Amino acid sequence: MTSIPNWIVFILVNGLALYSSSCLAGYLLRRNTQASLALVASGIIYFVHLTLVVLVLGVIVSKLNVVTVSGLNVLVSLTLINYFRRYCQSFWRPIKSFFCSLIAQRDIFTLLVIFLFIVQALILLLKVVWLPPHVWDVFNYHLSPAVEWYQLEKIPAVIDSPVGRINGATLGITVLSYWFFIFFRDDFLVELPSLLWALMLVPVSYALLRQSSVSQSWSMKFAIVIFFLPIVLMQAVTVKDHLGLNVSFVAGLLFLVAYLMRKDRCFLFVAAMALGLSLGYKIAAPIHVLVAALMFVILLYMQDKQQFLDKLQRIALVKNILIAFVVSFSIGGYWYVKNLIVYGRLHGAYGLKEVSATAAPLQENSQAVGAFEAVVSKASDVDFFVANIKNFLPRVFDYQGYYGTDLVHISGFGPQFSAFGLAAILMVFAALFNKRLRTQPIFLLGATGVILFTVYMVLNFNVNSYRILSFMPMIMIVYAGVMLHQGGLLKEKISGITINVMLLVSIVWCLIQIMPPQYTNLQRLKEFVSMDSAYRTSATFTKWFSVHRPTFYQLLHAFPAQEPIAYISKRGKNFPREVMEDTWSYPYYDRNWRRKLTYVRQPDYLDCNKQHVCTVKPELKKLLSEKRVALLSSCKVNRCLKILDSEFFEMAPGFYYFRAANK
Amino acid sequence: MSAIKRNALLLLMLLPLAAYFIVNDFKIDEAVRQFQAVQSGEAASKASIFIDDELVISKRFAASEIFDAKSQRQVVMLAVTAKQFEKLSINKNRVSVRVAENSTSVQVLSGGKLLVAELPVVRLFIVRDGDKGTLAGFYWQQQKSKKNIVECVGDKLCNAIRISSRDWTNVEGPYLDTDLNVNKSGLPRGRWVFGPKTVIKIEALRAAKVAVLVTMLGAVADQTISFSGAVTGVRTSVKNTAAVELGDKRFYPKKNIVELQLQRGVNELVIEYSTWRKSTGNEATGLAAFITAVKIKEI
Repeated sequence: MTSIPNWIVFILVNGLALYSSSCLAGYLLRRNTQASLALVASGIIYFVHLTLVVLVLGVIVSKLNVVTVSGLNVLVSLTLINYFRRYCQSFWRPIKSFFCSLIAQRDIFTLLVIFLFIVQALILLLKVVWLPPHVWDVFNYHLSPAVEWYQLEKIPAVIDSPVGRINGATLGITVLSYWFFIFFRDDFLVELPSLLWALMLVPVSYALLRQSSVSQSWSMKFAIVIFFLPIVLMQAVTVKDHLGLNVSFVAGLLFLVAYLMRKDRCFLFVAAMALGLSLGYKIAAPIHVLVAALMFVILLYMQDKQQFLDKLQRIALVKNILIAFVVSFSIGGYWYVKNLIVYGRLHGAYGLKEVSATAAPLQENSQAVGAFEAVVSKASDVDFFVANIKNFLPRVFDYQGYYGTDLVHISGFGPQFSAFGLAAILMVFAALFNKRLRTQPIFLLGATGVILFTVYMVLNFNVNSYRILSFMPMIMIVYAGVMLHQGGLLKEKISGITINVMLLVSIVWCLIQIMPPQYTNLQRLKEFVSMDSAYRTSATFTKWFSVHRPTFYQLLHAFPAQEPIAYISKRGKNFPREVMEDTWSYPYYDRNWRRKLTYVRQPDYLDCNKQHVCTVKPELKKLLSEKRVALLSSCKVNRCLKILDSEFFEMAPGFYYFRAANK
Repeated sequence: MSAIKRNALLLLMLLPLAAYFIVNDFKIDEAVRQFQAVQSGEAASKASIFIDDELVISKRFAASEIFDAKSQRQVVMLAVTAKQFEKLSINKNRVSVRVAENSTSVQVLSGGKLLVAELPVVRLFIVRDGDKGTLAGFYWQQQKSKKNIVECVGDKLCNAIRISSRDWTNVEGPYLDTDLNVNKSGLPRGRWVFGPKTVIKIEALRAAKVAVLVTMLGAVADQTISFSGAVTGVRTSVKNTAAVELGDKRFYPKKNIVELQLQRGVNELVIEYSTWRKSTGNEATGLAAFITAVKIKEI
């Protein structure tokens, strides 16, 4: 699958998309001279480009495959290049001059930090390519829809799965995973979108710092220390959506800050694109966008009340904001519209008792509450806020557990947040009492960060709740960098050296601590990476369930990848401590996504006693015979039901062969 | 900003940073352990299949957690293309399989649908890709014929007795040395028993004098065991033989032959342990031993 023609198509299509995106970015920012802003805008437009191509083909045209994806992309790219080619700018020249100046100044420290960044980026790339997708929720709702889209060649409104989240989540990151799968029909690059977002964080943070006139080398060092946040490094090699959500959000803030500085409406539209992407990444994203928009309007008012009082200026502003909203919604709004149409609520099938392939019975279950009502009803939850406040320092100091992408009881904010982020929070509060500081455009960053963090303190408290909060260290370390620059600490020799050492120590700590891969048996890592690629799947990689790990994961690769598997699942628990809603579907797939899954709703097809021994209803045999499915798994997650039936042969606990299927 | 304010701000940043490293120093040990674990691993085994001296197939596969019916060798299934399988089948007498330094010929099973190579550590099965029926039948047979730790010698006796216990866990294992569960890694097939005692019930349809060989891995050092119930004598008692390392745990093998006078009805064999493991972490409470075989024979 990873043949040379596939590589050629991949490089050609993505190269064209990148080039055309940089042309459009050059056009939108034609009155701006800062290369870092243009670089970020190019990245944002590139992601928008890929997202819209897949959505248009999958949802509207219903013809989603490598030919249509490549064809439409080339068409759009060539059109953009035709119109905007003269605005294209080279990023090589500013990067080269930046490095030349570092070498001329003999800025060893910055060069060392950049070297460590390159090393870390290569390690992450190796992890993406060599290690298969993992992490709990990736297995049940992040990646499984992309497999279904690939097999169906379209993006259906509803996927026949008992996992409510699959049919409620905004799957923007899954769209990108699909993009990076389709050229090779191999899942070795499906985690690349998260890595690209992590890498985007460097120019985004750099540009934010440069907006406030922080020197190039200090901007680069702070940008890289943000990239090294444990939460970023860990999420960069997953297909989870938090990183895309928060980096696109911070990129949106960057262009809002740029707008506050220069009042060029083109910045507003690029910000809208970035925030539109974030809307498509997480069902909670509207909260991010609302807080950012609110703070933006407040700061705009504080800066220049006149434009709100003057009718013409006010109309122009409202018009621009409305256009920005339309741009945002066009990019990330599909998932909400679909949820409204199919389920009558913004968050789709989240929390529904049962999910079916057809919408009709679902609407009977759906409650008349939308996401907004859910948020409002939660907003009065004082308990969450108190618990979060009590837990704040233990979480941000990361000492309640080991580093892991699920961030159990920790924040993953790393030492850099303890050093710079905590101080930055105090600086934000101090800025409230200083008019000069609170009317600075960069205050939008600090204020939005603190308010959004506070909102989440009220809305959400669980052992994993800091996974979505990575915007906080990103924003706060940038804010700290700007404030340290304005306070003169970066220029003064002793404090400059001290801050350099703090940055370096934080980077080295994170580099070493996050290097070993997670969720696998490290004693068998050498074996895993040296196996034939067909065996290197999520099923063989994952170390979840050291106590009750079903043996059948070992058997999966022996059966042909085209052989479908029926998978018994339900929304309730079969065993104590089993998760309620989730099921584990992704490990059943081969890395080329050829295997098909048939979801079997347990209550409809099995009668089980309290000892978890089940008899088969005739409907199950009929279903399997009709669909010609011979393999059946009774393991919802890691514990398996025992099936007693003379026609079902147990090959491993929970894994059965139904002989009559092929008669 | 004044120098005092600058220094205060620096201190405000330095102190939390120092605090972060102090409270997270335990992660350094964990990082070292992780790097050592990676280093201690071995590359995947390579199976090379030859016809005479011509290399036909080469595959790198993982150690298998599935063992053969005797719980001695790992079962590894290699699916090859129909064309390759046909070539191997036609030339079966000239086929040799090499894994590591070991080489062997192949046997034909299941009416020619499976080729098997018996190697010291693995039983390598070669099957045609897509032949799910043969695979399913093979795995079903493996599952059915898994060895129980209770073995009875002689039909006359075996038809007249039934052995059970409520004091031991389900049969489990064997496990690879690299199994993630440190309490199980490296263990053979067997059942865990707990302190202070294990009662094994032997239901007999007739009276008989029997010898019972109990083989176990003691879980703690300096553990003595005693037998009671229908016992008429303990012929051999090997106490605390040389310890063995299984996974990263130390076990103390014991073998005892116990003579019992069974009466018609329910008879008890009680094994009492002088000491057992104290509960640590998520380990089950009071593990005393891992029984690997109970062999009963009429004398």
